Amino acid sequence: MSGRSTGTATGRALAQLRATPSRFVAVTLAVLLGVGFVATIVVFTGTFSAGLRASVGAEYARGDVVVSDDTGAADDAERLATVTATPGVAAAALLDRVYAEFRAPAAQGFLRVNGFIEDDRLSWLDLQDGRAPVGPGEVLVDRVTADRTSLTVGDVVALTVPGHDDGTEVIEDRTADATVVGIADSSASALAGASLQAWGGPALSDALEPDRTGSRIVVAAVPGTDVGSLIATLQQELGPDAMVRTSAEEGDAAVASMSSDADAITTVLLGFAAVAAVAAAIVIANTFTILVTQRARAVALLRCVGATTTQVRRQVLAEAAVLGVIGSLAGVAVGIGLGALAARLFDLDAGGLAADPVALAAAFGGGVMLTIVAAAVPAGRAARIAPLAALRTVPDGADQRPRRIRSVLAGLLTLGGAALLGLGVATPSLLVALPGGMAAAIGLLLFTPWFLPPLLRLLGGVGRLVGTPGSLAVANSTRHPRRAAAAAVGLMLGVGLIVTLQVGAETARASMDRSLADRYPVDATLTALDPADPDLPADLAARVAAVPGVTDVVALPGTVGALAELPDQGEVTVLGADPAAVPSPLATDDGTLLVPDWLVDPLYGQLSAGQTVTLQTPDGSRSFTVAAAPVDALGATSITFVTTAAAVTALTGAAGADAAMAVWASIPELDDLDRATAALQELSVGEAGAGLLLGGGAPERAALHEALGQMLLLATGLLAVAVIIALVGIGNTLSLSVLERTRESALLRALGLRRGQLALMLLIEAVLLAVAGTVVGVLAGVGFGWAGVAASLGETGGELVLSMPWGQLAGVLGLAVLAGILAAVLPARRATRTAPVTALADLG
Amino acid sequence: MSTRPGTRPPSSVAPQPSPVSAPPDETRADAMACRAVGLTRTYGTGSTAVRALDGVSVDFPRGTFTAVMGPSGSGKSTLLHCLAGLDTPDAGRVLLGDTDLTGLSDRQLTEVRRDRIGFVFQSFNLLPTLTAEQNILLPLDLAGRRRDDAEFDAIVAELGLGDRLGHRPAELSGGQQQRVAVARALIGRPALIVADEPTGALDTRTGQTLLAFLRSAVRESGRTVVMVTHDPVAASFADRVVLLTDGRVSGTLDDPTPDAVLDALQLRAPVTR
Repeated sequence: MSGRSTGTATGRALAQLRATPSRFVAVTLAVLLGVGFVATIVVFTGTFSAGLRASVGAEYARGDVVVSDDTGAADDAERLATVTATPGVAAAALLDRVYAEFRAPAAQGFLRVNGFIEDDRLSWLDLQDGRAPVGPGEVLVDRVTADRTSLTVGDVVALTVPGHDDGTEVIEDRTADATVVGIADSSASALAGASLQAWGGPALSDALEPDRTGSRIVVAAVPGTDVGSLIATLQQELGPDAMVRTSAEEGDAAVASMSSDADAITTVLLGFAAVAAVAAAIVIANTFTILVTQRARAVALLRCVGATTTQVRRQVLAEAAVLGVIGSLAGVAVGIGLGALAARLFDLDAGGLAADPVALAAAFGGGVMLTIVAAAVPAGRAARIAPLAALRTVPDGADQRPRRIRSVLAGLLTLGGAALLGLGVATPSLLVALPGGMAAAIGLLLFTPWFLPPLLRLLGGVGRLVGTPGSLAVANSTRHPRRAAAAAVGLMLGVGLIVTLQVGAETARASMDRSLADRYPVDATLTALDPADPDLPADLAARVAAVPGVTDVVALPGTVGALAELPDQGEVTVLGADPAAVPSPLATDDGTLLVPDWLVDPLYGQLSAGQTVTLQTPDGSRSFTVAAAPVDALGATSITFVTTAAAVTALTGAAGADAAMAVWASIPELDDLDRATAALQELSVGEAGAGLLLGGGAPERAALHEALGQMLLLATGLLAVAVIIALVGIGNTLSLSVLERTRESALLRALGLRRGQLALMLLIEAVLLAVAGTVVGVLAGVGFGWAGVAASLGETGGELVLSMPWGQLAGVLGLAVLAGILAAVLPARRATRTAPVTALADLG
Repeated sequence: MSTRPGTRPPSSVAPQPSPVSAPPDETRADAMACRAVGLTRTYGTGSTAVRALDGVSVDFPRGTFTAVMGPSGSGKSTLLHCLAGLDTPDAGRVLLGDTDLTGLSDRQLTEVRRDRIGFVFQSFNLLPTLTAEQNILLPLDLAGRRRDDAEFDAIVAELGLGDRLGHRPAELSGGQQQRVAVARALIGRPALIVADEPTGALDTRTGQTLLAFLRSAVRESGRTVVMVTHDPVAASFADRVVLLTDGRVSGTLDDPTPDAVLDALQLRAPVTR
């Protein structure tokens, strides 16, 4: 051990690392977190892709060849007959698909009805419960669909393929009722099998869509047949429109057509990984800078006895390389574990654990490179230490002053970036605002050493209230401006990005909420699904009012009639709204008929505002003056107009006044939106209310709220990695400066500072640093988030509503204080263990 | 009090310099290991300028032990730093053998320090992360030179460090640390060993043992040592004392005794306190 050569930089680096391993924990941890993050993404997306491939290809996995025809020219049955008759084909089956509306006891929506393969040689579904479907009245559903729609064996599903009238040809609705006879495992990946699906025999497909074309055909070859020549034969038989491929090729092609989504996800995730990497680089560079400062005398001694600047630089870089290798290896290991765990949790690992080894190797190599590159500047600083520094009895404690050139550059970047950002908001153009924001952010980060000390002193006003420990903490926190800045920068970056997203999402939500409110004056509307039977159950209004969070429930009388001025629109619904009880855009007078905007459009509209129209109903007719209002989205299946309740009852008489054709309600609190919407949805499909249509703004607002909320949660979670790395950096900076101040701490103790006061001092120091970093991050994030939404919404012409997520901002600040306290725990323990007598000892 | 420790009898483990391992200039007829010629060094500018060295010329013959003395601010440390290639004079020349240090680049100076100069400082002589053995071998390792096992064993035995080689500096006493530093200065046979207050942080007895080692290295192995000290007893171990006052050579004293050194200092140094 003692005989190990120190001739190489690596040898000396290893000696250094072995002697003081604890000082390098933060660097290793930062690398581990950064690389672990990337490796997790690589393993997760790899496993996800493999799962997707297995799930997508499951249908043809048992076949040898797949025949497809994107032109859709030839009839499926004829193609199947041709394929089956081809020599070398043992079995062939259609993979046909019919998309149908469905209504089940507890759900409704769209269902993909796939052709069920009976042939044992090609059948791939794993039947779990019940039996295979036979004839037009039976279906099989998969486990995922059964769970999501609460279907069980024995339930009846009403299927409808809606007809249409395109002017030349009228196609009637086609319907079929099918009983669920079995449940199968289709190994559907959560993303690949996002739609609800069922399998039925050819008779069911025929009933729903008789003339199917373009379906794929899966083929099993006769054992011993050469697949290549079979493909050639089939191609010849079927003609040039057909595409004949092996089932593996078909699966790859299907995945390729889907994987643009997966690629986008990977790109976004890697963007977050880049942020984490920047935070890690800051921690690494800062740690090495402090370590080099602390080791200045040792480096100088090394230079005295003949180490060249290159040898000194190499030693620091070798230390970084060793830590980079250790941290990256651990990161890859942790990433594989976490990625596999995440894929398992999201049920995406149908294809087993998989990861691109090249990408994993790149993550490892990137981690090592990042560590070495981040240590390059500190290594250069170490190499510049003069040999004479070894002879000074007191280490040079003077902090590096912020450099002038850097300040000018930082100032220019900040101002220029801010100007560009302003231009982007004013224009408005996201393309201009984005680089402006990035430049301003980088400038701000570079500018930190200048504004952080005043900010720390300002915040320190609170700290000083604590007395001597507080005053000492404030003085300590500002005595190394660049070191403090470097510790705070990572936190600023992470917090800034999180807050940018929070404010951006909140502002975007508020802005879109406003535009939704303009489009949908009513939050929730319930109308009959069947226009032939428009009256609603009498107790519906009461049941809607019973839903928590729902207010202002109004039952509206209505009538069905026709406007002579709109001959081709057929029947229209006219609802009577009590002006005192409905939102202002829909409150009108007895002589006015509110119609959708598009009907009075100057170019295409068939009516004009102020025009007098006559409504013909079975009970009589009445004239109205036309006015435009946002009545387009009131949820009814036919065109809906609105006038007053009085006007409607004048037509229908007292009997009509009691029968509601629509129930309107408000959901004023955003927090109630999701639950209330879900409850109303359930009410609309539930047994008593079967045949109701839920409309209005609530479902869209709820969907928007949920989508933004999920995106925000995900992004925050991913950015949290960067914040955690930054906090490791703050704890590290503090712990290294505690080491440096061992004698100072001992002197304070010798002079009468109690153990607890010393700990308190360090605690305040850490909290100050954390809060300062967070405050800057929050302020910048608010600005950037708002500007980003202003630029992008302005571009699409939306109205901007600035909204602040106060609760979330307070949460971020509270977490910063907590994290500061956590970061101070270990350093404070170390500092308080120092005996007062240490101050008197000559440490040399 | 004027006892000069006796010369140690010739030791069988301290070999005479072998012609093979000796640097070329040691075999030359020229007897000067190092020469300072007209050295001038000024710190600061304008009214705050301090002239630390003001035309200093001193010769250091091969195989001699020279002590440099003088009051605080006399320029003795600056002289030492210039001789060792740690500081660069404004004017004048430093000749190490026949190499003029004043014209060298940082890299060349580093190599001169590594290969031809040995250092012993007052404190902080050793790298805390390396063992005693690694510290001793550091100049050789940095140069990528192989260790001469016989030479290493001889030096270690002479300094009594045999059972301390695997220890880190924190596990060694102050005297042991300084002996490791001396061993490092001796290894590789440098042309010049510079020592800056080597006994400043040691107690009297330990300090005198260390000085005896240095002197025996000069007497028995033909080394050349230049030592800065303010302790007349330490200076009495040298063959010659060079006295500096206000950046100039104010006198020399051959075969000094502590009393003679004290006399010379009081005679020539202006009373500053």
